[in-house]
Amino acid sequence: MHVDSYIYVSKDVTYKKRAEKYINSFSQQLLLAQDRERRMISYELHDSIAQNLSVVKVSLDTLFDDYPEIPQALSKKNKILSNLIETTINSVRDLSYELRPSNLDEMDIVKALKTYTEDFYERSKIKIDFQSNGMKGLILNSESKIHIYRLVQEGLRNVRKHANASIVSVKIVGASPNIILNIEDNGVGFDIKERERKLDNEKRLGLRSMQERVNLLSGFMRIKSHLGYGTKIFIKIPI
Amino acid sequence: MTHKKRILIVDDHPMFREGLKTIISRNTSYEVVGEAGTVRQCLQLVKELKPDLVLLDISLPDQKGFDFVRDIVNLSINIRILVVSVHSKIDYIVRAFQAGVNGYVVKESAADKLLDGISCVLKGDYFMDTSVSQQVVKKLAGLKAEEKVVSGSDYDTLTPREQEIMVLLAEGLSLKNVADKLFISNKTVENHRSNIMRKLGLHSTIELVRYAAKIGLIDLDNWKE
Repeated sequence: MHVDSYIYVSKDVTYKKRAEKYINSFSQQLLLAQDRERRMISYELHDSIAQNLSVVKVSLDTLFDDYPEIPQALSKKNKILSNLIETTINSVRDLSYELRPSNLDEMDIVKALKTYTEDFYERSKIKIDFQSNGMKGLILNSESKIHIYRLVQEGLRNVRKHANASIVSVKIVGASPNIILNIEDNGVGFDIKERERKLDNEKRLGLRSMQERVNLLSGFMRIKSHLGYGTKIFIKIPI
Repeated sequence: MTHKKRILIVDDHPMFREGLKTIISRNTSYEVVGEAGTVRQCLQLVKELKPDLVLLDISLPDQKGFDFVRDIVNLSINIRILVVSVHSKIDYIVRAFQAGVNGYVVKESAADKLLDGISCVLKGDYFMDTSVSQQVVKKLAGLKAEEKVVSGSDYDTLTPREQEIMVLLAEGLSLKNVADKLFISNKTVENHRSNIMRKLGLHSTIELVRYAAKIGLIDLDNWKE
């Protein structure tokens, strides 16, 4: 075959690449900013609002100590208020912890996840099988810890909201140079394509925010689900 | 006449200190000898007043953590410490006891539990508020089983390189593929493989794949596709 002419087509993708890089870095900053804000709100809730409510409670509980003749109706009302404050303190504390455990920075991630899964069981009554392997001696920076913690938190939140599951297993494995995370439930499952379509319309987060976080960490996430057969989430992120 | 037990209150909320004082005044055998709102004031008053007991809120403005608990004990060896805190998470409570406190009451139960706590701690016993003791006992009861499940597996003995090779083998790569991928010789991969098998007590590749799936290292469903 004789070739005497050819057409050369090229496209400069520098801008596209640069834009992708910029978006990636921007998203990462957004996630970190969100976490900083959560940390601040969590701290305020726990160390300011819950503390002040405790002051109110102890003041109510001792309000009539010097007045033994106080009418019973008043004393009863005081008790009701005191109980309400106690319930509010517990709610504030749970919310603060859900936003961000205060000691996550000092804690090892396995212990933090263990505590979180225990709390999850207490709140949801969904049994949890939590396992960790190969994580001993792994030194993770604060950002990696918070990303892993959030992935598990988001995964379990999805289970609680949508799965109607009775058991969920969470496995975290150190697999140098990655960490592997598995979250699997025995719930109702879902049609992945249908869900993705709905999510796009409803602008809901959940699995999508997990995917976003994994992408930012240059990791990999696979979701498997079938109606009636539960859901499996497999995540691999570089350490 | 027996002398009154002398108590120092350490909390940065003056109104909360007032509340504690009112509760303490319900028992005439106790007297509040001082109040502090910072660690610095607390240490100074412990040194000066030598109280029998410190009611201590650990979240103080000039210090975070539990290190200063030891400083209190060093200043007055027989002193007893009862924490009155807004924190109710088990890790926090455990750390407080590890640091050397003798009792723990959460702030919202102070009116009901404080006097029991003071009496118990002054007798030389440990005290834990019933609203937190349940979770602590549950934790202790589950500790043995948990240790077995959560950590201490044979997999923990693998080196990072062995972990890396185990994943690749479990994903179905041949020795040669692993060697090529990691730029090492077949012989080196073989050595790593036999170390992995020995450490995990495995005898065949099928057992290795099964083990990897069990601990969540690979997703077996992937093999079906």
